[in-house]
Amino acid sequence: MSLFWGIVLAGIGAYTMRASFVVLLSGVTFPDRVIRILDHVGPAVMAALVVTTLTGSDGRLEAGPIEFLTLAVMAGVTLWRNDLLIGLFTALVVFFASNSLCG
Amino acid sequence: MEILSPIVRAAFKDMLPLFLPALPFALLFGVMVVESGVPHLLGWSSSIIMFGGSAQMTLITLVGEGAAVSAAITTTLIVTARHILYSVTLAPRFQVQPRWFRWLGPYVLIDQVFALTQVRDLSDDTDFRHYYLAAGFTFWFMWAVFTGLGIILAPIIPASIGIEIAITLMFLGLLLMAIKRKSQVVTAAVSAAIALWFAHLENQVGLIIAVLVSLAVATINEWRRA
Repeated sequence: MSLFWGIVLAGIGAYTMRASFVVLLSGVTFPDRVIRILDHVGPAVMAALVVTTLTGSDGRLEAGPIEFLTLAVMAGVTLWRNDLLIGLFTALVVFFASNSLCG
Repeated sequence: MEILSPIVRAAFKDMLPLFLPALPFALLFGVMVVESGVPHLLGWSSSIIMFGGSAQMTLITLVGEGAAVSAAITTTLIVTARHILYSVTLAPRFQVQPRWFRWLGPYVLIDQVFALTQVRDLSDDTDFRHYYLAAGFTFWFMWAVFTGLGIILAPIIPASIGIEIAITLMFLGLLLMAIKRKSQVVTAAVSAAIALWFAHLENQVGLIIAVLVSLAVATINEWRRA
């Protein structure tokens, strides 16, 4: 199989996964209880993604004290200002400042 | 007269900070295409055809290392499997939308777009549709441009840009802003703990396990509460 057809097949596969339930369940009525459970998917996925991006392929945490400090600043500022962009920039400033001071 | 509606401008404003952490990955993907020996235009076409950073990186890396294309596709689809959960979650929002949107919208249903739908409170269905398309195709356009730039500028882009933590920060910020109930804190904590426990599994399978187990816990908690 050529790479071009590989990319096409992977694209079709990715689209099918994204569209599957959106299209299949278009006529289904969702009970409130199910919708309340679906509200948990976002936090569950985001929390798992945070951990996944902090670990190496061997499963060990690759984050050190500076990374944890940066994450704490991100959490604190984002919750305080309720603004993702301000949280991100503040955390990155702390990250670079800490690295230049300790590195 | 404003050219863009307020909801579309809000989508641009919300999506731009989410693209900043993805920008180094877009450039690095371009470098990966060049280093893998894959024809440049073919590698870049995956940004349009697949549109999914981690899936594209997996496919190009494996093919570049000499893996069979069929094996690379299988691995890529495992990495993409979490998008099924996004599809389930957004099904109630999409079912009241026009048919063309139900077919077009999933094309841009990536992590960042899904996360914004969980953070933004969009009760009006038309607003939801405009916001979703504006946010999704803003990211899509920038991803296509910057992965292309990564290929062109590959010789001068370092192997590590040093701000990879930005993507973790973005997901953390989105997590905090997506949480609206105490029970969701429990779900997030369970998911994080299990993701750490299974982090050694290949192809992000641990992530899928973490999400499914934490959703099972959430389901039990919701039933007990009812």
